[in-house]
Amino acid sequence: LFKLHRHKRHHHCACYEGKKTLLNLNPGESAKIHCLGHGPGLIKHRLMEMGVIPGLIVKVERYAPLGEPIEISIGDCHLSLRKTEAKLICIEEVPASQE
Amino acid sequence: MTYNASIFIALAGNPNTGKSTIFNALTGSRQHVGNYPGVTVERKEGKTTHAGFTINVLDLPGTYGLGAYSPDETVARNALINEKIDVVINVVDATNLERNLGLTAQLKEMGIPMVLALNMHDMAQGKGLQIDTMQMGKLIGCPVIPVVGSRQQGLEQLLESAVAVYCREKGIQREQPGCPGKCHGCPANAPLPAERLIRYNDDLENTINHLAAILPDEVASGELRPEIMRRWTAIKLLEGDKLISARVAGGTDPGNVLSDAEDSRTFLSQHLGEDPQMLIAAARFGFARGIIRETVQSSTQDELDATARIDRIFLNRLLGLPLFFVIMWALFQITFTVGAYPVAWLEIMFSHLAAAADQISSPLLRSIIVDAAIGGVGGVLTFMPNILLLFLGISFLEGSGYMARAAFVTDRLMHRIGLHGKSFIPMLIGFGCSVPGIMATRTLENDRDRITTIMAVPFISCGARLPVYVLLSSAFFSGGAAANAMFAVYIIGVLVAIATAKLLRVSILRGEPEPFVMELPPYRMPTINSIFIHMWERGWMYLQKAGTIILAASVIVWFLFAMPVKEGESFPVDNPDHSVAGMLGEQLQPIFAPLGFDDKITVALIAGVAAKEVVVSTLTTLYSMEGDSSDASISLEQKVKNHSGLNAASAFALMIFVALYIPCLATLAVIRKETNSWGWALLSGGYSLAIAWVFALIAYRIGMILIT
Repeated sequence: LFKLHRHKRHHHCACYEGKKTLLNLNPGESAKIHCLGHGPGLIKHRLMEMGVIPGLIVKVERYAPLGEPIEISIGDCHLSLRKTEAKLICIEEVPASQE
Repeated sequence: MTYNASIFIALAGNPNTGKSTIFNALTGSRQHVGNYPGVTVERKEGKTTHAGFTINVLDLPGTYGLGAYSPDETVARNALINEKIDVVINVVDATNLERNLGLTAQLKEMGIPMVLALNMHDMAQGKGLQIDTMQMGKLIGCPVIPVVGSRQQGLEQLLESAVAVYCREKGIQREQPGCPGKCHGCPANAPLPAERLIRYNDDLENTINHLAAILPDEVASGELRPEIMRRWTAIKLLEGDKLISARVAGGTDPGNVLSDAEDSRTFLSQHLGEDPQMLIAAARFGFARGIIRETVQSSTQDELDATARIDRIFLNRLLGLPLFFVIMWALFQITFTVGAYPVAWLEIMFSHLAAAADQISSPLLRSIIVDAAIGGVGGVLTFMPNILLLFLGISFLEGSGYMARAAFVTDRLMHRIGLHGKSFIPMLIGFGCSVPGIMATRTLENDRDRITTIMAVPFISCGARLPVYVLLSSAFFSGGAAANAMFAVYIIGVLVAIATAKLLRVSILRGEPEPFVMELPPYRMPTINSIFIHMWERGWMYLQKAGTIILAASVIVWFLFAMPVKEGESFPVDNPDHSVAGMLGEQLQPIFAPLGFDDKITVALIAGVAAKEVVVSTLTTLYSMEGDSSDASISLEQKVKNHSGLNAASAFALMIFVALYIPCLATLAVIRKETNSWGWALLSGGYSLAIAWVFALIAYRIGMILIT
């Protein structure tokens, strides 16, 4: 049952193959949050509650001095994530008009 | 006109929304800080009055949601469910509505009468945000009051709305409504219209309605709005909320609502391709965004705000870490160099007290007062200036927003050893005193992270160990070598703390690393009031917890030293060697013989379990019995050197032993309190004893080779 469930998820959300995640952005770059991808529900739910909401524009502000965590901003809200969480956030390119 | 009714108001909101500032402004000094039973989340309650009503205010912990992600959330949520709250004031950060209104949506679903406090309204305006509070009130279905907590603006109106909402709810006719009719959102005089609730998609709605229909009646019995309660419970079941499921399951007749909820979750996950929990969360944020779209006009200019500019420096790749260390260094300088003055005054005061008490003729009474009472209370109080200054600095760093940055720059380092960026601060405080250090682990959301940190903190050399190091290193090492020896002991403590954390992470507390999602709030100048209230709260907690235990421990230690072993000796005994403690020292000495410690040192170490600085005072007492004690010109260092039978190797081993063995009874008691288990406290005590013995042995053996 669990396998089926996962398979279905893959089917409905196109973000698993070839989609970019936050880790593909350089500091200073922005993108639109497409979805919260493959990961434990608890973490995804938490991310959402903290403001990582699909459809919003996310910007990678900087990497910490030791390379991790990562500071991102969504609107006025600044968050710090480790790479494992950043990997969950799938992004799509921002159309030029929106930038 | 006064009313008999007292109104129970809860303040709810995200962290960093200025909730505590509003709480402090509303209740002033009429606060009571306690703990929620069984957990270590602070419970803050206060009182105020408005328009003849007594108002009890409960400051809920700041949370992002009302799930059960962290102890804070569980506590906030349970309080909202169980505590018969009349009105909830939802404090939102007007500059960050998108996320804040997500929690508002959840609160609204619970159906408790609500008032929205739009905090930091001035900053939102400064950023070019125009918020139509009237319209927002209509859409959410509750009064929306713009406030500026730090400048106490809008608080009267906030209370007035809360009272008005309460009176409407209870049908109380007020003789003189304090409301001039200008309150924002006041048209919400009617009950919430149904369409103002958040609508989920049809699949979810059908399931929610089905679950709500088959819920047992008891779920909503006694509720003012049973329908809302039923709907909320159904939503929670669909989200898979464990606490609510358990609540329903524990009822008299749960029926098959739980299995239905479980089936629906599985079905919907497959059918919709996403967990219902996620879909529900997304819908809530959709609701929030809808409201923002209709009520907020933004004319933002994309210039860098102050926070971004400050962070360019403080989080800079090259400067970030050095600046962090400079700030920590400054914190310590303030704590210990500035603190040294009041500490010295207190010490003088206590020595005068002791001198005065020395005039007492009864030897027993004198001994109790001088050694137990003044020694014990003095031991606690002389640390207070340091503790208060440390907490003052930490409250400032927390209030200003730097603490989150500190966690940001150190997280990688801490993550390596299985800890968390937020573990750094407790460890750092541990250099001052383990007790507040362990209490500071409350900011860690996850239990495993917390316990790991709690177990590591006691190995950080606290301020009370310093006098022991100073005494021993200056007695057995010359100038430069003395400083090196002290430094080495500090480093060994830190390394053992790290190794302990790592060890726990691969054994008892094994598991996937927890997510590290943390907000970096905007920098703010904290109000002086809130810093001092915060400092005092913590200092008071230290006094209560550590104070009582240290005092009790020093009485016990005094008793052990006063109680004669042989009959016929006077009580208290003159020579500690003849006391119960002296006998214990003799009995236990063989255990310490491999480390090069004699029975006197063993006695001092036993006494040091009460508190580390007691080691020095005990050694003083023991060696003052020696022949040349009458000669005041001989310093304690000299006496220790002459009579202890230690050499450089065993003295260093003793320093290491003191650094690592049982921190003190107060620390053990706080570990017990904070982990809510004797197990962790005993493990900490036993493990630290073993570690200390092994390390001291190694140091002694290596030292002996080097010396000879």
